Amino acid sequence: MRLDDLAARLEAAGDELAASSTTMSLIDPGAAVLAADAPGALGDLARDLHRELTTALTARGRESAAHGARLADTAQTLRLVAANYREADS
Amino acid sequence: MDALDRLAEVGQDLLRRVDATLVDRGAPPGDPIWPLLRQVGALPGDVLRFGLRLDERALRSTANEVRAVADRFTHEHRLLTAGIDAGTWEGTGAEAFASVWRSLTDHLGTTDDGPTICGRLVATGSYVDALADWIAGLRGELAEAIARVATSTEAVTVRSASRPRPDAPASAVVEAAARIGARFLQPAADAFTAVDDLRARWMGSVAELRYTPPAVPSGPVGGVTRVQL
Repeated sequence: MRLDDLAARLEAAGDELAASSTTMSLIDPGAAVLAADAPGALGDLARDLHRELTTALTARGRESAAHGARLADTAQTLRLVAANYREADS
Repeated sequence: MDALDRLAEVGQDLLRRVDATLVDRGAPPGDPIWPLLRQVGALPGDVLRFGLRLDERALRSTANEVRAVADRFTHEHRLLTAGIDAGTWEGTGAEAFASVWRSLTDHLGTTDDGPTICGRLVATGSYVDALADWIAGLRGELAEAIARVATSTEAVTVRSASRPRPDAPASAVVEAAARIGARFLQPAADAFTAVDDLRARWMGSVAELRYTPPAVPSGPVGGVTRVQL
């Protein structure tokens, strides 16, 4: 596999992770599924549960976005390396 | 539609009367309903309305969507692992790059791994499923409570209190309302405890994952480099 092919593979994985980071924020079913506007301690409990769920989903989105960016940066570095090798070779 | 949806109307009618009795006349001193009322912070009718609005299916769907993302990432992991094995690059630069590539691939992980991106996604799917299980448990308990009390002596007593000439004395109605109310407040109180268990089980597994970059080998530059451009 050529260096440019390796870079393309990294970019494709990076794109998939970056796209999924957006998906994660859309997956949140909303506070209503946990009856978060209920009165009293039940409502407090529901709001806490939804906040914790949102925190977990947001964490997954951030992890995906950050790793997608790492993969894209590595791909870019690899393309630069390939270009330098080509220049040295010519 | 589950058992609670089917029994909702019967339960709501009964608990409307129970709530009205508790609000108007209170409950007997020392009755078991008092600590439950303090713990739950809501009337029995509120508990039933809360249970009816909990949406188990929406959470199951969320769990499945999270797992679908994990499956897509596992596929990417497979492609990246095959990519590094198929690399045609030798030399100092290749070794450094292989170290970075492996670190990136390992951090992505697969659905079988723990502290990886895929592992966290799988754990999050399981955590959302546990939330859905919690909902199913509470709704099931509330449905059972309705089924048990709807035709009970206490229910007959509470219903009779709304007649122009009630059959039962006021104290009997208050006692019956308190007993029925406690039957609905207890599952809610148990649900609070269950949430504590759920948090203890899952919060660590769904916490945000940090990436630690590899220590890139820094050997002497030089030697032979072979690369397929």
